[in-house]
Amino acid sequence: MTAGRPTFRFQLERAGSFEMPVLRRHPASQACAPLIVFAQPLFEEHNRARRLFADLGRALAMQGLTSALPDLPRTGDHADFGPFDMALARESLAAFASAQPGPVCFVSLRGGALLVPADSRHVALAPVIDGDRLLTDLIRAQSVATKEAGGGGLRRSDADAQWAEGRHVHLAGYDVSAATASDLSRPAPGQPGLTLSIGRDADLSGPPVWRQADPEATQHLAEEAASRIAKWLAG
Amino acid sequence: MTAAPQSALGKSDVEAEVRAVLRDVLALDANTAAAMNADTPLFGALPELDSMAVAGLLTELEDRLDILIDDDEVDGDMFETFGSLSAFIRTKVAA
Repeated sequence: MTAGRPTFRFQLERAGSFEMPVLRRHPASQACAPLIVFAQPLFEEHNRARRLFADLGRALAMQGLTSALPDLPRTGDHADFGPFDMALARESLAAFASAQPGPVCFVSLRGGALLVPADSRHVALAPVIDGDRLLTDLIRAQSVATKEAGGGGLRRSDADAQWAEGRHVHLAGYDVSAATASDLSRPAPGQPGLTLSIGRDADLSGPPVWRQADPEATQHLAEEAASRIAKWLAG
Repeated sequence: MTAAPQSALGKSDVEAEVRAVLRDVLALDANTAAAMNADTPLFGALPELDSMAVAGLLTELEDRLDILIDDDEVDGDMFETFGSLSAFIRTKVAA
């Protein structure tokens, strides 16, 4: 692998019927295949992990790998601000990968693993195995906030009842549709080729930044992850 | 390596795990986390501990200690102090 000072470019890119903002980071010298395509976490975890993806893109570039960070419809900098839609996110991520001229390898974090197409080359970082756990988190956060405001909290059964009527449920700042709630309750489409846990005694040493309101620095974690990913791709 | 059954975790083990989860989720520095004792106030005293953080704390504790916490059990008293949170988690680990 070659080392060098990475460069980056942020632009709107078209992939099939989708147009999305994409941040690409390139190594200074000739890049190695495949292109790394990031699948970002869902809901608030997406925002909290942004710094980690920046560090990861730079660290991968130092390993000679180019990466692309697409903001899928209804996430990040995408112009579509509607409620997050799992099916739309999956479809657009698959379209983005298909639009690339060469081979790709997905690197997902947390709920991003639920978006990666089946039978893909895929490294999953701290993946969410059960998407329903994300709903539990959101419902809990909403419930605590409602109780703080003097209300009666929100139970899972309350949310389920609203989804059963086809309504959106506002959870911790996000409108969650019935379709997305149902999608989250289904298993991930495929199995990653490599899974790396993140924690103090895990495969990769680092904090769970996706849970932190003020995420800690992640440069060391990113470098460790990039090294493991590069070795796996080379092996 | 085989992990010890969660029910075998002692009081100090549970407190250590609660301390570690608080440190990780709230991004506390090591000294602040280490200095927490049973009377250290949490909810209302730590600006980092908002509603999202409460949810994250509970889920992290569930994952790391292999326990399940019913949302009906969650109230302000549980998060009043480090001691009250640890005591609640001990009852779940022992159940």
